Amino acid sequence: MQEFDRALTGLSYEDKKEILGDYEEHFRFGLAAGKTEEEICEALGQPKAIAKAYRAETLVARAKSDKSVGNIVRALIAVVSLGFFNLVFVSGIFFGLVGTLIGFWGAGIGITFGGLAVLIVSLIGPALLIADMPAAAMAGMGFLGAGLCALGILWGIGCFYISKWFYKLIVKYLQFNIKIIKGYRV
Amino acid sequence: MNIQFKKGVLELCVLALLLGRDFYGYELVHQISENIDIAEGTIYPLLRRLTQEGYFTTYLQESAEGPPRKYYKLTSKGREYAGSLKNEWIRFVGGVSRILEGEKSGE
Repeated sequence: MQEFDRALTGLSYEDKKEILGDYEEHFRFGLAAGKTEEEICEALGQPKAIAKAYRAETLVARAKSDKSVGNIVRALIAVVSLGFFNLVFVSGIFFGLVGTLIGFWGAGIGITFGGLAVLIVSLIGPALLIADMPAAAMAGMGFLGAGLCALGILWGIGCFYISKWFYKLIVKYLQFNIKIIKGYRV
Repeated sequence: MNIQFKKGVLELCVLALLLGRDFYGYELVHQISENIDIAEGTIYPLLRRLTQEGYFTTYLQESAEGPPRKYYKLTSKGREYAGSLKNEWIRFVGGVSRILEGEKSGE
C-alpha cells in the first residue's frame, strides 16, 4: 500500500485519497471473504502498473478537456512565432557563435602545431643542417616552440570548455522552446 | 492474451454487468476476474475514469455485515453508451467469427 501511495505521485491529494480508499475497501472485503493479504495483492497486480494506469487515465482526460479550438490556435501561434523568431534572430546568433568557435578551434590547433614545428626544427635542425644558428639562439627557439605548443594546448582546453558550455546553452534553449509550446497546450 | 485487447474488453464487461444491476467495487472486480484472467487492480482505474466521464454515479450503502459499500450505478448517459457498445461488440464478434470460419473452410 505504501509502495502504491508513492507510485501515485503527481496526482492531487483528493484523487489520491479517493483511489487509496477504493483499494482499502477492496482489502477489507477480500479479508472478510477469507483471503490473505498476499493473495489479494497478487490478484491486484503490480502497484506501479496500477499507478501508471491512473496517471494515463488522468492524462487522457486532461488532453480531452484541453482540445478546445482556442488552445489549439494559441499553440499554433506559439509554434509559428517561435519558428519565426528562431529563424530570424536565433539562427543568426547561432551561426555567428558557431563560426567564432570554429575560428577559436582553428587558432588553437594552429598555435599548437606551429609551436610543435618550431620545437622540432630547434631540436633536429642542427643535425639536418637546415638551420645554422648559434646554440643560444637554438635553445631560445626551442623554448619558444615548447611555450607556443603549451599555449596552444591550453587554448584548446579553453575551447573545449566553451564548446561544452555552448552546447548546454543550446539544449537549454531548445527545452525552453518546447516548454513554451507545451505551455499553451496544458 | 494481449493486454491492450483485454483493456478494451474490460470496459465493455464493466458496463454490461452494470446494465443488469448496481454493483459495489469488490463485487464487480470479483465477477470479472472470475471469468477473465486480468490483474484486478486495473479495474479500479477504469471505474474511476468512467465515473469522471459521467457514465456512472457512486453511492455508499451500509451493509448488515462489514463496512459501507461504494456502489456504482449507470447514469442515463452510461446506459445509452453501454447499450451501443454492447451492440457494436456483438456485431464485431459476429464479423470476426464469420472471417475465422471462412478461413477454416477456405483451407
